[in-house]
Amino acid sequence: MKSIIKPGITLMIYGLIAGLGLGYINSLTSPVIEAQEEVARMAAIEEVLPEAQVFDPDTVDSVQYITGYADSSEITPVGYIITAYGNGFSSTIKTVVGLNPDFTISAIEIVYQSETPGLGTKSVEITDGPEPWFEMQFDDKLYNNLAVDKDGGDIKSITGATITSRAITNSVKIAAKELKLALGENNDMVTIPGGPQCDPNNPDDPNCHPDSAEVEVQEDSLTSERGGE
Amino acid sequence: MKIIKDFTKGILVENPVLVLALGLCPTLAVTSSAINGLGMGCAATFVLVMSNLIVSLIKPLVPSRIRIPIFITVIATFVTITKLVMAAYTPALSEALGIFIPLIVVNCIILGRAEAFASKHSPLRSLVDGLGMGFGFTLTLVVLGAFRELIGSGTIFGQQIMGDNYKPALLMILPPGAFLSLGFMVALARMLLEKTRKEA
Repeated sequence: MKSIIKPGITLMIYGLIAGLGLGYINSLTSPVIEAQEEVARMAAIEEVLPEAQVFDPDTVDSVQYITGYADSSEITPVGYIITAYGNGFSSTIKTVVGLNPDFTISAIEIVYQSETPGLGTKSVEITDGPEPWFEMQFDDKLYNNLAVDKDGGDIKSITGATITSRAITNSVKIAAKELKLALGENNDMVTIPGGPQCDPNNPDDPNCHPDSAEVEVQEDSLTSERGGE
Repeated sequence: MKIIKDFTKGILVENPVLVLALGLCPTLAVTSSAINGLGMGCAATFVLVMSNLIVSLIKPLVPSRIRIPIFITVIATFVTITKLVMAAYTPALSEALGIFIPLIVVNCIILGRAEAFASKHSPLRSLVDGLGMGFGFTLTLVVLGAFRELIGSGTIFGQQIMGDNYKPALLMILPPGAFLSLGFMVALARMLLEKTRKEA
């Protein structure tokens, strides 16, 4: 019995000292780590929606999003920000997506990925210009047209990393669609700049559901794409 | 004289990677670029030096039956400190090295040196041994990383070396490139060792 208790107590003392020391170090570094993550997140948010100055987080139908406003009056949104998650080749890729009010994409920023070095990591690689070429392809595209070239779309996939390219593209599309549906159901009026206005008192007004027929078809193709991965 | 030998043996004669063949997993995995190799080498060196020093200091207080769990506790503590500090102050490097920082705990070099050297020698010699081994490990990782980065991306430490017409051989920054380059480095180390032995 004694041969168990003595080593046990010794180990406990070592563990206690180590634990206390680590607790102290953690209390020093955790505020710095949190600040770093917040800075990275805010940088991504500002990057994808440069016109916005004021950000207002909200949740509709369990879809989390941030509305960006040009000034503190918070009347006309200049766009929305959502986070998309896609299953890539070796990681869940997290992308911050900036959407204009007409649901074209303002810009995207991949904030987390752990794909194959030299292949999937090219998604965040900068060759020319201020941001990675892969992310830049999304600028100004309408969300429901997004698809990689192998799926008949016009997003050029990364050589040797089709799975990564497809995961990002489809996750952005799905996230934007979810937000569009969530907002569409809760707002009486979905305004499309330059287009005809929806009349909330007329349920048959086709302008209220400008792409409802299209969305039905999209649903099928999305399910099959997900199943294929 | 002994102290100097404690340091220099880690560079070639008892180089942890090339001669002792310890810690191959992080060596192969993180050396896709020179900066990753340097970061990993420095992190492992810090842990190695500190754990060697502490193990050597507490050795009279360690019952031999439970020395391994105690050594691991010491090592794990310093690895966690390294991980927290890197996440706080070098987030980009910390993300690039990812899981391999926490995995320093099970890096055989560190437990190997604690068991084979620090638990038998004075704190000063253990510290120097840790420094030497860490330096040898870091040097190997940087050379391996720089070589793979040069062939695989045309850069070293992110600086363009090869001309614009150079087509990078992607294979070199993928796992097969790690094995191939390490093989050549081990062969080179053997050759140097043979040469120094003949001269001696």
